This record gives sequence, C-alpha cells and structure tokens, in this order.
Amino acid sequence: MARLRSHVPLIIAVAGTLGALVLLWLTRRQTLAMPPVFYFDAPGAFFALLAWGGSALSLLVHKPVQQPAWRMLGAALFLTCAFVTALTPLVIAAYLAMTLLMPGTIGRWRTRAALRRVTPLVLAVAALALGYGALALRGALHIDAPQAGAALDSFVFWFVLLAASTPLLPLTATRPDTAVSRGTATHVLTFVWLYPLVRLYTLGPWNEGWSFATLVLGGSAMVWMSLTALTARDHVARSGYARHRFLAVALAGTGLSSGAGLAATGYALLVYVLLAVTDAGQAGTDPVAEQDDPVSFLPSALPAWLLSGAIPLTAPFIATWMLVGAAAAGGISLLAAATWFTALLAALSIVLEPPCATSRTWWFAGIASLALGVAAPLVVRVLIQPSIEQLQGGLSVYGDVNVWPWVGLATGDSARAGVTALPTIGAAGLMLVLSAMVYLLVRLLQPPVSTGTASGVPAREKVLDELRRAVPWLGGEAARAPDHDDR
Amino acid sequence: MTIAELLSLLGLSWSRLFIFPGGLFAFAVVALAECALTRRRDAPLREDQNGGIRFVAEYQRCLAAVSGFFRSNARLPALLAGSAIVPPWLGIALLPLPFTAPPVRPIDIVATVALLEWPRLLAIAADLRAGDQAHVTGGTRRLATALNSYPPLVLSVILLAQATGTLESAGFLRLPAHDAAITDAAWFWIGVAALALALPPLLDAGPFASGTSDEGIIGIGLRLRTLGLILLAVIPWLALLTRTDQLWAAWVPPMALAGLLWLFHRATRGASAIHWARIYLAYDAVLLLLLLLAAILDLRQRLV
Repeated sequence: MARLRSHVPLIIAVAGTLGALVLLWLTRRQTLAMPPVFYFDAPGAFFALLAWGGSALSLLVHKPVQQPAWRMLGAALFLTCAFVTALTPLVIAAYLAMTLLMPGTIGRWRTRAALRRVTPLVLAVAALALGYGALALRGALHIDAPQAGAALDSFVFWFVLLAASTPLLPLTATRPDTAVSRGTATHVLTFVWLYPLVRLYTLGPWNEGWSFATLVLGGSAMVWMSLTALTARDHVARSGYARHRFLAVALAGTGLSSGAGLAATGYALLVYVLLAVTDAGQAGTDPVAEQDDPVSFLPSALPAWLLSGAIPLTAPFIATWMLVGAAAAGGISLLAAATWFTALLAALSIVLEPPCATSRTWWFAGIASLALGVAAPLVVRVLIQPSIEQLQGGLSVYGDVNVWPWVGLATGDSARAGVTALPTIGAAGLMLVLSAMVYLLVRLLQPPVSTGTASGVPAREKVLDELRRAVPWLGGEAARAPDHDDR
Repeated sequence: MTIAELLSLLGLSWSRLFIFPGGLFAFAVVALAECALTRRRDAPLREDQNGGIRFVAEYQRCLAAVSGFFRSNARLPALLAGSAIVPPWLGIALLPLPFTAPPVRPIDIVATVALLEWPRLLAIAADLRAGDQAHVTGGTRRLATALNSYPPLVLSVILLAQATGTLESAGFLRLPAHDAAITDAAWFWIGVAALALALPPLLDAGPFASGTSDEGIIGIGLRLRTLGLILLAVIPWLALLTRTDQLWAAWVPPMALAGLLWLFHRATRGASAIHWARIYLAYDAVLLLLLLLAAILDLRQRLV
C-alpha cells in the first residue's frame, strides 16, 4: 500500500498526459468552446501535453522522495487551467499560482542566490499581469470574443513578450549550484512561459515590429547561448545553456509569424522537455573517467551525442533545421544563417564533453531523440499541425511546413516553392541499407582491432584556451598560440 | 502519401547509392587519391629499375596503399566503423549531380553538410581522446579550424540561397536566367565564389592542416567528406557547363577546384594558422555585409 502511495503522483501525471492527448485528438479539427470559462483548442492541448508529459517523465526518472512531486503536479494542474480557459484574468492567476508553487519562491529571499532565482519569475508574472490585464480591460476578457483582436496593441505585446522571454533566458544558470537546486519542476516547466505569447495569435496577426523584436530577441539569445555553451567551463552551466538554446529557437520561431515558424517552435519545445528531463535525471552526476579502451568513446558517449544535435536525424538537429527552413522561407536570411551556425556550434561542443555515467535515463533520452527525429513528419503532423491550422488567422503566408508522412519534412515559401527538404524516414532507411553493407564489409576486411591506452578527454580549460587563441571571433587573448603558429 | 512513396524512394536510389555519385564512383576516387598521395609520400622508385619492374612495383605500392587504407583500423571497432562512412556516403549519393537519377524527394544543403561533417566530428573526438600529445594537439587544431570554417560556409550558402530562393541542393543547379535581376545574378555568383573560397578551412588545407594523419575508417570518411564538399561547391559550375551539352566538361570543374586547393595547400602549408584565421574573419565580415545588403534589397523589393 505504501509503495502504491509513493507512485500516486506518477499515476496522476500519466493520467494527465493521456487526458491531454485525448484533448489534442478531440480538438485536432476544430476548437471546442464552452463559454464563458472553457476554450479547448489544439495549442492549449499541445502545451498541456508537454506540461503533463514532462512532469510524468520527470517523475519516472526520479525517486519520488527526491522530487517535490506534488508541487510539480500542482503546477501542471494550474497551467492546464491556463491552457484551457478563455478568460485572460484566469491565465494570470494560474501563472501566479504556478510561480508560487515553484521551489524557493516563498520564504527563501534571504540569500542572493535565491533572490536571483526568483526575480525573473516574479518579473515575468508582473509583466504577464500587465499585458493580459490590459487585454482584459480593453475588451478581450475572453480571448475568443468577436472584438478581442482590437485589444491587442503594442502595450500588451511588449509586456507579454517580456513575460515570455525573461524566464527563458538562463540568467541564473551561470552558477552550477543554482541550476541544480532550482529543481526539476522549474527546469521542465520553463517552456510554459511561451504560451501567453503564442496565444496572442488567436487574437489576430502581429505587426512587423513585434515580429522583428521577437526575432531579434530569439536569434541573439540563440547565438549567445550557443557560444556560452561552447565556452562554459562548468558542466551544469553548459548543459543549461545548451538546453535553453531550444527555448530561444522556439521564441525565434514564434516571431516568424508563419506556419513553418510555429512548427519549429512546437518541435523545439518538445526537444527542450526531453533535454530538461534528461538533465534533471542526471543532475549531480559527476563526469566519469573513460574506459581504458580508446575505441570505446563513442558507445559510452552515444546518448550524449544523440542529444547534442551533432547527428543528423536526431531531434535537436531537426529542431534547428526546421527553424533554418522557416527563416529562409520567410526571407529572414540572417536568422537562417545564425540558426545554422548555432547548430554547427552545438555539434562541435559535444566533442569536448567528458562522458557522464551513462544511466538508463540517458539511453532512454538518446533513443527518444533518434525516434523523434526520424519520425519528425509524424510528430509534426499529429502534435503540431493542428495548432498551426487553428492559429492560421494570426499567421502570415511566408513559410509553411509540408509533411510527407512516410518520407520526411519540407518547408515551402509563400509561392509554395520548396525551401528546405529532409526526407528523415527515407534517409534513415537508406542509412540502414548502407550501414548493413559497411558492417559486412568491415567484418570481412578488418583484422583484429589493436587497442592502446587512452587518456580520456584532455582538460577542457586547456583546449578552450587554445581555441580562444586560434579562433579570433571567440574573443580570446591576442597572444600567440604555440601549437598553431610555431610551424 | 502512402508507404509506397517510401519504398519507391528506397528502390530508385540504388544507382545513386552504389554506382554514381556514391558507391563505386566515390570509393574509386577516394582510392585513387589515396594511391596518388601515398606515392608522393613514399620514396621514389630506383632509377636503375627497368620499365616492367617499375610498373609492377608501382602497382604493388598502390595496391598495398589501398588495401592498407581499407584494412587498417586502430581506432574504431567494427560495429561503429560504419558511422564514419555511412553519413558522408549518403551525403554524396544525394548530391544533385548531372547524369544522376532524379531524386524521388529532394534534400537540402543544411542536411547534406550535417551528413558530410560527421567524420570530422569523429576525427576531432578521436584525436582529443588519443593517448599522445600529438593527437590532442592535432584534435585541438582541427576543432579550431572547424570553428574558423563554419562562418564562411554558412554565409556563402545563405547568400546563394538568397539568390535562388531555396536551400535545397538542387537549387545550386538553378543558374540565374538571362532576364534575371542583376542583383540576383550577382548574389548567385558571389555565393558560388564565396563557397569555393570557404573550402580551405573546411578541408583542413594549407595553414589549417591538423598535422595528424587520417588512417583507418575515419580516414575514409574524411576523404569522402572532402570529395562531397568539393562536389557540392562545383555544382553550379557543372550546371553551367552541362548546359552546353559538353558532357566531357563535367570533369573540368571538380578537377580544377581540387587542383587549386592542392596548390593552395602546397603554397601555404607552413603558414601561420592564426594569421589565416584573421584573414578569414575579415572575409566573414565582408560576407556578412553582403548578406545584409542582399536582405535589405530583398525586403525593399517585397515592400514595393
């Protein structure tokens, strides 16, 4: 009985996930309005699915005693209220309640670290209250009201954008102790702050200035986080920045105001939840020494590689690839360039990563990353496409995502000409054929593998110092690099 | 959209995968290049050997080089060997080269580059994890070179995409029409030239050479990657030449570009890497300004 009681939070979270899935299925064609309070639609159901799914996975990979499980469930419940309501004041109340439930929000204001942790959330709630409060006062008490769009103006937008972006930026992740102690709930549910911003598309189209501001904010945050993740010396801070990069991808995708942009947003949020759950499951685990065999670095590090975006067809790669396509389709070339560059940086930074103790969580997350990446067309079609269709009224025609269900994904521009294309399932099939062939050939040709000794990954600090000298734009010292110049 | 489309994609790709441009063609080029490079590295044949002996010795040397190249493997076990070869192989096979079967579904440059870059990541990781200092230094150099090579690669390809309106690799074949706007044609050819200029750091050539030898399976993967990137950079030139029905001319651009790269490699091999990195930084700034200009002009055109 006691054992069953300890699993109750997990059972509730799984039930919530299934409920959100059912809701997403019911609302995939049209919204279900139950005035005056409830408004069920696909975007709300998608966010609810992520919140409950993230909570369930989080509880699954954690021992309940280590985890403030009931707080997380409470937060997910309040958020679900926000996702399924048409009342804007109720959204504010739900976010306020969720913030109060976060560990450390109440009663721990004495230390500077606690203050730094709580300030962005308080600021976000205040900004959301101002933005959505103004909406309510100007006639959009119900977001589905006929004249609600008229209430959306710059005052509302800027405050909602502030509310969305403040918690997304890992301003407190630079200190490793804070990143761990903030708790899983904070990590996994951070993405929910994007919901109020995405919901504004229900009210009507954005003007160019709002889109531009969101793009600049998302794009610059993405580049900053990628560079910081590459050069950070602390493992927890590094993984924090690498994870938050996907929130920046989601923010930039939202700013594109197109179907392709929103598809990138939804997919990036999925990847964020996966990484947050994995990192939380790994919190406190120290890097381990590598095995003596130098040939075995890849198997032991494979889950980390699958989660890094270095391997094409994995979910992190697909998320950034989708934003590149959406930006190119929208004619925002600089954002496309910046996104692609950050994807390449993320792939490079994994080679410096020391392997952590590979747990079942990591393997699960690695396989999930591969599965989500290869099955991206199905994921987009089932989970994300309904949201795009229901927010179409607020979106522009500059970029649409085309799903080839059994082959892959593509992005088209306003003339429906192809901009990017990636046959994920087709490429996986071709890779499987080639892999089988190469494996057979190598088995036939290869002599016994000679093994030697390995020293593991060299000190990251040393390599980073060398990189700073050899790569001018990394902003290192002007000193000569002995290993690069004295030749 | 049914599963039949997936099956037809797999079925119709066999010639691309196993004959041209992937498979036989790619591995033959890699083996020939390895044979030529090994011949240059080894001591020359003795002058007093007659023609027959010289021919047999040369043949044996090439055979040994190619055989050793495909057999030696001190870094990766068999299970993982394919991971160094398969992505670049697939990347080459899906390139939209002339005389290839039309693809059932297109693929874009971002995905192609990711496939081609995989062996480089493996090589860096393997070098950094090797026991000796020489490999660690080589791995660090490779990493620095990769960081220096990405900005020009990204900017040149996006500049090309600005002109063609697509990132699909088949877009490289879309030469500007005669009546195209002068700016579109300019961005296209600037992008093509910029991509060619981005190749030295991308291919670890000249001052960017890592100084470590690439052997075994990772070496094959890296050579496939080199072939893929050179072919990618010459696709617009191939489109230009094959437009005139001169089929033999299809060999000229890749051979010419490879020759130029080899000359660059020979001429700048001992030069300072940081000096060239700074030159490339200035080059990146120019490309960024050009991209900004292209974006502004495009926006003006849309608003008019």
